Amino acid sequence: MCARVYSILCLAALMAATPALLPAQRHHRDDDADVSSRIDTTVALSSGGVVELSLISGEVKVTSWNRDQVRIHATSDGGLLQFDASGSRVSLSVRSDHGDMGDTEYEVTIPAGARLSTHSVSADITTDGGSDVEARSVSGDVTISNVTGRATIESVSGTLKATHVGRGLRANTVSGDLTGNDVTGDIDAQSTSGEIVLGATKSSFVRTQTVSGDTRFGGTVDRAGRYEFHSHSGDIVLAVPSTGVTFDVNTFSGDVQSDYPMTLQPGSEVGQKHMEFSINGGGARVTAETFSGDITVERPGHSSHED
Amino acid sequence: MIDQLFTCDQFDAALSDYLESTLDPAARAALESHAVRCDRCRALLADVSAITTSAAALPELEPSRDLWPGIVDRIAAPVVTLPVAGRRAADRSFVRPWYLEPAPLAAAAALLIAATVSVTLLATRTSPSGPSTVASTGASTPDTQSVDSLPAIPAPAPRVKNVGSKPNVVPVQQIYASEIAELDSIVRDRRSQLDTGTVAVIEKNLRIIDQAIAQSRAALARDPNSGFLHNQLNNALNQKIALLRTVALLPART
Repeated sequence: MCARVYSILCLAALMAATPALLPAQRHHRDDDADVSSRIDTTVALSSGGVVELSLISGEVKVTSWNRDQVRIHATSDGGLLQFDASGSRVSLSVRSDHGDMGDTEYEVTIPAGARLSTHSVSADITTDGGSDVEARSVSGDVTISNVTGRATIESVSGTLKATHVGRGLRANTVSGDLTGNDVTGDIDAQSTSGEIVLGATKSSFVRTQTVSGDTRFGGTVDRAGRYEFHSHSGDIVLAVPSTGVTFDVNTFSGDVQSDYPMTLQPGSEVGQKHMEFSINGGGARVTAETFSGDITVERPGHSSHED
Repeated sequence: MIDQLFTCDQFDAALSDYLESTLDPAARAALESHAVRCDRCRALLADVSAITTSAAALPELEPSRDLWPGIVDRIAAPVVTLPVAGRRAADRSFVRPWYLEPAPLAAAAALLIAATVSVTLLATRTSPSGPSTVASTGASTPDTQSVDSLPAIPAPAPRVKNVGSKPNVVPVQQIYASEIAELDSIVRDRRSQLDTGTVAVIEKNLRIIDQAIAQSRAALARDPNSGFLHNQLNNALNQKIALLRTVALLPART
């Protein structure tokens, strides 16, 4: 008797559960059958929350607004969009069950105070706003602007551009060129063959390193600041105002030119030009070293190296 | 207080990572799911989140006075012009801390690199590697082939006083070479996962770096005591390791 009641209950439970299971299975089949996916939604995100976006190819465009909300418009050709949101984090990514897919497009609006992390393989990334921004691509271009906090940008072959960054920039490229404009805070930029151009910077610590890429620096100089530029065969051009600066420039086989008077240090090694000189009483320490590149120190606006 | 996915102890352990946004999505979902079901943990999460939010809203504190200019004045030694002939002797008589010598700095850099590479190796070995194709990395061979002929660089002096014995000698260039070889093998495995354009860019830039390494070594062979040239060589080697490490961690094209 007891066993019979148990069997009936099990059967009833199974019948009750079946309608609930069917839609889920159908939904899953529909997902698999889609050749494209689309998301149009707006969700809440706390101040200082994190937005994570990742994709393979296509394009990412991020803007910001003064609302604690994230608006997402995303489409993918043949890929399955994966969206996850909580009060403090929103993430969007794409995957393919079949191993191939077309382009994916993200248009996302984030709170001005949100932290943004976005990664791509070949997709271009463009962002405007955000507190801290991290943007990495393998071959896509990365363009960021109006970051109130720190920015980290990386690409292997894509171009990197950072404009109006409030609290420091870290940039890394292999062959792509890097342009930083109006960056405040510490700057650390590295490249192998790409050119590094920093303009209108307001930093007390700047460090650049290239192998064959040229380097150009322009901006204000903090008397207590430290500025280091290293290269192997790339030229280094420094447009430095005549505030107190102590220069230490060193090249093995390149030339050194300066708009400011300079003296060759006694004891410099044969075939190597090592010069230390100060302007306006010294202060900020500016070091430029290159093996075979040329080093030019010029007054701002007196450039003889404009393209 | 045991959740299907997360216990309260696991919740406590993962909470700081959750607040720092470093939890993976699955763990994050499990933590949030547990918080929904557990009163104690939900209250804890609400409290800590409120504290975090309040702390983030606090203004930045400025020191009452800036000490840096005073420090700079004390450490900024004037450049003293010395006669050429007397310079070497003067250099020898100047007692410089061991850690400011070029060789210990290079050794320290190499040890740092070794640690970094080890982490990279661990990170990359935890995920299954793709099919191993191999295109030769001819670009990196100069580092691995010419190790034996390179000068060894004295290691930093030990903290324990070592009276009457010579300082240990650590072949820094050999450390660089072995780390580069390790990373290079990872990169070779990863090539099939990257698109051909990216691989071409990487190979071209590895050749540029190898050329820089070769030029620095050639100059160093003529002037083995040049600190500047040692720095140039180390910079180029560091660039190579940085590039290989970047490649090892690149996302696959699919």
